[in-house]
Amino acid sequence: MPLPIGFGGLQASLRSLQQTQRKLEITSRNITGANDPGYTREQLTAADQIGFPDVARDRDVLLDRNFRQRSGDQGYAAAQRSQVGAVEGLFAEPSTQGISAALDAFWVAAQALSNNPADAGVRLTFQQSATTVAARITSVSDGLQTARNHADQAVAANVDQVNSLLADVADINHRVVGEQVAGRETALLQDRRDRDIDQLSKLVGANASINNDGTVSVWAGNNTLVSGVFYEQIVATSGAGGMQTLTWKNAGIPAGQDGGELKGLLEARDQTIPRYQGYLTALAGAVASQVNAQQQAGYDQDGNPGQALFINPPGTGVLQPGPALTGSPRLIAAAATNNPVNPLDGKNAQAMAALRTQATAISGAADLTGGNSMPLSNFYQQLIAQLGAESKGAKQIAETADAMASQANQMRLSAEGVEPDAEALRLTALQKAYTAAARTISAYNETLNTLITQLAPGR
Amino acid sequence: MRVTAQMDIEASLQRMQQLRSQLADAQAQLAGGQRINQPSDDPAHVGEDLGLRSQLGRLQQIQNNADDAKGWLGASDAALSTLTGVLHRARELAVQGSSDIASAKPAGIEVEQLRKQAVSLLNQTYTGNALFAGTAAAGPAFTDATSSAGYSLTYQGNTAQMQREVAPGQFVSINVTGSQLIGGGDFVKTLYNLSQDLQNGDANAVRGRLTELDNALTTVSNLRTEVGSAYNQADAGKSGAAATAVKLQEHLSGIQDTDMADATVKAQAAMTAYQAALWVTARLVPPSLMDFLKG
Repeated sequence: MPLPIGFGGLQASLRSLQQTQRKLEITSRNITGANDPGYTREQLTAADQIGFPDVARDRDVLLDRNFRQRSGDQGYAAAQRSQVGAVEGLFAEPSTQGISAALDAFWVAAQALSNNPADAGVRLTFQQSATTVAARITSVSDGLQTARNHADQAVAANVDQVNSLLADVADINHRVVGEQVAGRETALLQDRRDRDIDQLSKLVGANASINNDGTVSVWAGNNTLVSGVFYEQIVATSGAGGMQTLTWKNAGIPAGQDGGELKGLLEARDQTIPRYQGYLTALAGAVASQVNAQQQAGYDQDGNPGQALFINPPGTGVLQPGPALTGSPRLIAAAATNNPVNPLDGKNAQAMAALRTQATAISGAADLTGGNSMPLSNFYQQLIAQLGAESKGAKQIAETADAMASQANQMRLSAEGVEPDAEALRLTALQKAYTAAARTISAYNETLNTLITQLAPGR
Repeated sequence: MRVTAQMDIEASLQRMQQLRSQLADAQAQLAGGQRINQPSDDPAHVGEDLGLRSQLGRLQQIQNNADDAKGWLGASDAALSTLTGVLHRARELAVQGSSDIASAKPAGIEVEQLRKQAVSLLNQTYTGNALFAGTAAAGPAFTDATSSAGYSLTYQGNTAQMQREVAPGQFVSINVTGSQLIGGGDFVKTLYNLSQDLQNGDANAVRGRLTELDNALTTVSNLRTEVGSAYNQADAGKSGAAATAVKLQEHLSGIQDTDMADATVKAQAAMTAYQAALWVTARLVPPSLMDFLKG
């Protein structure tokens, strides 16, 4: 039987060398990308081994979708937590710097005034304690409005980010299709697109599915945000209270309702913060009406009827100093009688001090009071207890959402990320394969060489 | 399960952030000495915390009120006590003068001195305010004048009672008014007349004054009883408020103060866990098979 001698073996070895080189290239890319957030491990597809240039990304659609859903929940909970936390910080309770301490000091000053209504220093102390009450309540009210404005600014920043991410995803969809037609690799583009979608899920609770042509479709709720090269945009228009109203441009429906940070911010801006503004408005209104009514029932040091201590612009949580506060301390109505002027008469101040324990109908906060009358301090304590419970709840929900998102991310990173040891092992194996292939070629070379020299004519 | 490089990084980061925040919480509790630093630290107790602080402020003020009440009542009692002595002495002199006509004239002169002392007692002040003038102005409670029509004493004050809250919701009157003192009989005028009668040697008239003096002594004695009772209420109120404040303070400490032993242990545990996480992370991230492959 004749020995077939040819170049088929050489060809096979060459092919092996080329394939090994290609695998080495991919492995080295995996190793380089191991620590890049959003890098997806690449592998040669079976198809590629017979000539296609593309590689498969180890993407698991279900794990991605699971993570993005959790990520939307996480963004929503985190926004709520930070907003409620900001409101909680404004009240600065329990401390000596809060509204509670200011009210306590005011009642004490009223009683000290009733003991010693003729003393100019005691009158001044009373005025100062009333000024502190007004300043603290007003400061928290102003702070709440500022918090609301900040939430609105954060909404605007999120809208910009969402709009540019959506445009980017659509743009990558377009480029991926083009690159694929041109036979070029799209893995890094796709990684970037996935990172964009991750961000969108956190911002607006979006999720995505991949299509056969290499494009992705992005949606939130029932609204399609990206499909092929089409993409949605959020339009912000000025709405009630100077706050922006968000609308999906194409669908014409309200935006930011499907979870994510944006929903958390909108809820804080439109529900949580306004609710506390309402409580503070109720408190300021009740303080002003109670204290002013008692002031006006009495007489000042010169026998004139008492004037308002506070001015509460209706519908606000603001207390401005009234005429009895801006004027001389003599204007404080400590006396219950005026004819003749009795300097030691502190009965009206005593009545003011008694407001501390007097049950008061507090309008505009029925969800806190249950419609019951209660002393002002008790109302405020309930407000703080509710705020504490709400903040603690938001904290716990955010922690749970963090843990869930983190776990979902771990699962997906486990499937999609780079395992350095495995890559190193592959590298070693590929080195051996390359060496083996090179050896084979060298063996062929020797064999052919032997054949050619031994059989050379004229030897 | 495949463990990828990104998983290590993410997990380490999250673990360290969690531990760092636990450590920060423990440190805040230790440094501030306060367990509740914001309402969400303990929503169930934050309302009670504020209520207790408020109650403590009120009790402090009630103790101040009681001190003020005791000051007024003590000064009133001292003045009334001296006044009782004055009236007793006048009665003695009247009895003596009515039986021993020789001593009547000097007795009359002494009674006149006693009258002046009585007026001065009625015009006693406490912290610059007339004791017996009700809520009226800081001038003297009584003015007197002697004219051809005789002696007259005029009350300048009013009948208002000043009150102090000496226990939550409990008020005591802290002043005796001039009307209460001389409403039942103007004993100053009696003293003036007695002095005149003694100096005139009119034994019958002098004996007639004894009833007036006895009435005055009864009035003053009754008023002293009222003052004493109010003083006792103020005193009891003050010690009650002080005792309650101690209990409330204990309760507040229980709610609000950091349990130092517990917080220290927690902080230490958080610190240890954090250091362990740092140690592990520092060693976990770099090594891989790469480090052990020879080129």
